[in-house]
Parts: sequence; structure tokens; C-alpha cells
Amino acid sequence: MTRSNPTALTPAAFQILLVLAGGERHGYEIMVEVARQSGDGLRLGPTTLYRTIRSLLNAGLIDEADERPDPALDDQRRRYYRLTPAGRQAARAETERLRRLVAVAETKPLSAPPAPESN
Amino acid sequence: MHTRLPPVVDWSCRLYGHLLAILPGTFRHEFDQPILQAFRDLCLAAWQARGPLGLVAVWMQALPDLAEGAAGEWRLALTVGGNMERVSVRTWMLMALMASATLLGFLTLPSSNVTHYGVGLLALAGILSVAVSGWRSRYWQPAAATGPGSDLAAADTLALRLEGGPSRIRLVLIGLVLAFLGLFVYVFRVLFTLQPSLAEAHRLTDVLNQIWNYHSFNTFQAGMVIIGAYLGVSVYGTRGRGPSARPWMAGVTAGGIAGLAAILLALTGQLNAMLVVMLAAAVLAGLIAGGLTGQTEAGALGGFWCGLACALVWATAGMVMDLTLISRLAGTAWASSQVCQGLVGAELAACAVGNDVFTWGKVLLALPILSGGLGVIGGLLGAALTKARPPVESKWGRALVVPVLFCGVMILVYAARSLPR
Repeated sequence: MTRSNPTALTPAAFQILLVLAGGERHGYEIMVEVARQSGDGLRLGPTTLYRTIRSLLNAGLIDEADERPDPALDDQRRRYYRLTPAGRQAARAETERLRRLVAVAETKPLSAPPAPESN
Repeated sequence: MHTRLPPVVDWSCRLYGHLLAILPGTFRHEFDQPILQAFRDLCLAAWQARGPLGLVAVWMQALPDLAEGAAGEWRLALTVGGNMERVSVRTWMLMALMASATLLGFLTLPSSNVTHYGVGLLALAGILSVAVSGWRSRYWQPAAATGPGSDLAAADTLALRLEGGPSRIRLVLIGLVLAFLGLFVYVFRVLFTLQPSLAEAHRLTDVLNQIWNYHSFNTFQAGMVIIGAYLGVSVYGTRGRGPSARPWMAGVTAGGIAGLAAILLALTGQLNAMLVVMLAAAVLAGLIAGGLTGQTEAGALGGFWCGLACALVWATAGMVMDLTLISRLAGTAWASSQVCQGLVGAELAACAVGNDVFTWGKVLLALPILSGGLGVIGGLLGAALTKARPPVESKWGRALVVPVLFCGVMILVYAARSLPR
């Protein structure tokens, strides 16, 4: 889930944490929400979703909710996940890291036209 | 709330459910249902929104996702341990490779030294695999997951279906060993008759003394010790019922069938195919045992019992054939045997039968141990592909005691035979 930078989350993990910050969700809801909040930029497949969820569970950033919805409203076999305090802290840290990164990016002349080639 | 799925979506989900088999067992056991549920939701939403095109789009995304996920999970499992801490896959693969490599040397290199070292390494690989299996399963087994449905998985429905099966298979195995014992003694009686000088060297009063004296430890004594070990392991190693009976039941059944197939192939002169069948049976038995129990460790046991039954069936049938056809064979293939070149009549028959006995002895000595190592390969596959969940408490520790003792005896016999006379 984490890369060489110990505080950095993978995009998928971060997106899932952001979705769960809004409340408990099951797998399909997470997939739909991730696609929506990323503007369809990140579409998680079922296997990737649950591989990431497994990593987040192992890291203690999310856990499985014990309470199930009313059986008349939903399938009892679904698993619901929620954010842990550690997960909320990790999401905040990642947000802050990205904010600093964006601040650095904004100081760079990224929108300037490329320099003309010299012959 | 259970939604009735359109048939196309239903079949789509079934197909995807089967494809999930490519994921490693432990990850699949934990997440196959949620993954399938998410896929079902995706399919249903896509079908309702865009019809068949939507379904195709879901598959276009799901297939690469599954392939990439499977590759990642297997890489994790095989290189890091990942979600398969329960079994050290690397240990097993090394042992299986070692067993296979030594078998290759044993079969292809005729040098007696190489053969001796090959059998020794085989024995070591097999006994290590069996012993480590017991150690890991007994002491390293974490508590089983207690998720929804785990109580149902713990119910031993297969054992109920197989009620009575273990007793019958056990009786057949013990009967086979006793039959082999009778034939073995009879063969030597025939040998003594054919070559009276042999009888002097095999007085029964000297047998017990000679067993402990390796300088005089010959084929007859070695054979008696091997048969004793076979009888012991058949009586005391097959008492398990329920889940612990699965490896030896699968192994003995597969080994028995493979032994019969090997005889047919040997009779038609297809010796290479015979060896392939014997070895493939061990892998198959491991696969079945691993698949039935969900544990790689059971593969070693399945392979061990397969090798034991296969060697026993093969050797017994070989003895029957030798004894039945002894007068005819003396005038045919045996006469051209390099080992017995220059001999005729009774001496030729005694030499050829004695040579066969020696070959059976080697197979009886090595095959169960080797097959234990090969069974690990099948066990790996079986545990990976099965939907069976590992039991809460492994019983393999107890089931392994007798096979390990058996392997120890075989190694002692091998050492006694190999030491200089």
C-alpha cells in the first residue's frame, strides 16, 4: 500500500480512504464513488479493490463494520468497511503531502511554452 | 435483498467466479465472495444502463484487473510470503525440486555411486519435506478465520460421505503387504531351490543377528525389514478418520491405480511411460489431498501414501508374474540380460529373479519418500485451486509420526546396504 516514501499512499488506497471518510461503504459503492470522485480518472476493478482493501485492513487504516443494514434493504452478505482513526490521520497526512506538492508545482513554469530549438 | 439476475449476467458472474481460481488460495478464501459480489453489482448496473455493450465493457476492465491482481498476489505469495505465511512456499518448492532432481539422477545415471547418492538425497528430501510439513502445520498454524460461513466449512461433510471408506482401504493395504510378504518368502524359497548354495547364506536362525551386522546385510534381510516397515506403516499410519484420513485415502487410491497402470505399461514394454505414470500419480495424489483439505502439507502425505501403494502393487504384481512365468521367461528376455549373461537354466532364473527382487527393493525403498516430495507440488496446486478452507486445528502432526518413522527405517536400510562389505 505504501511506496518508498513511508507516508505516501497509493492512489487507489488514498481514494478508498477518501470515500470511507464519508461513511461506511461496501465494495461496489467504493468502486462507484472512486470513479466519481476521480472524474473517471481511476476505475478500480474488483480484484484491485479488494487487494487494496486487504492492505488497508492489514495496516489498520480501515476495518470491517460489524453492523449490517436492514436485510430488507440490502444483501446481508455484503461487507461494509469504515475508516479507523489511524486511517483518518493517514488520509490527512496524504492530503497535506499532496497540498505541498501542488504548492511546489504552482511555482514552476509548467504552462510556459517550450523553448525554441537552437540550430 | 436478493435481486434476481438476468441470465446473461448470471452466467457472466458464474464464469468470473470460476476465473477467480487463478488467485492464490488464501487470498481467494478471504475475498472471493466480496470480489464476486462487486463484480455482480458492476455487471448488473452495466447491463441495466447499456445492455450487452455495458457487459462487454465490464469484462474488458475485469479481465486485465484479475490477471494483474493474480500475478501480484502470486508474486507476493512466492517471494515474500505475503498472505501465505501459513505455508512457506519456498521451502516446499525447494524440496520438491530437490526430490525431482535427485529422481532424475537416480533414473538416468547408471553409475552405482550416483544411484546410491541419488537414493540418499531422495530419502533426505522426502523425509525433510514430511518432517517440516509436520512441524509447520503443528506449530505454525494460525487460528482460522472466523468469518461468516466458516462454521459451515468446518463441518466435515466429506468425511460423512466417506464413512466406512477408510476401513476398506486400510484392509486392502494391509492385505497387500501380507500378500507381498508371503510372495517374498516364497520367491526366496524358489531361489534356494534353484540355487542351493544361496540357502546356506540365508539360514533363518542367522537372520536376526545379521540384520544388525551390515557386513552381512543382504537382500533377504533388507527385504524383510522393508516389509516389516510397510506392515507397520500400513497398520499404524492409517488409523486416522475424518480430515486426517483424506491424504492417505487419496494417496493409497491413486497409488493403487497407478501401480496397476504401471504393470500394464511394463508388460507392453513402455518403461518410460510407466515411470511417468508412477511419478505423475504422486503429484496427482498431492493435488487431490491438497484440494480436499486446502493445505499444502496434506500433499506431502498424499504423495507419500501414493508412492507406498504404487510400489507395493507394482512389486507384488511383478513377483506374481515372475513366479508364474519363471519357466517361460528363462528361455526369453532374461537370457539376454546383461546382468545374468553367461548363465543358463536354474542359475539364470535365480539370477534374474534375484535381480528383479533387488529392483523391487529399490523401488519400495525410494518411491514413498520420493513421492512425498513430489506430492508437495500437487499439494501446492491443490491448496491453491481449492475452495476448501483449512481446518481450525491441523491434525497432520499426528498423522505424520508413522510416515516419518517409516522414512527413518528406509534410510537405515539404505545406509546398511550402501556401507562397504
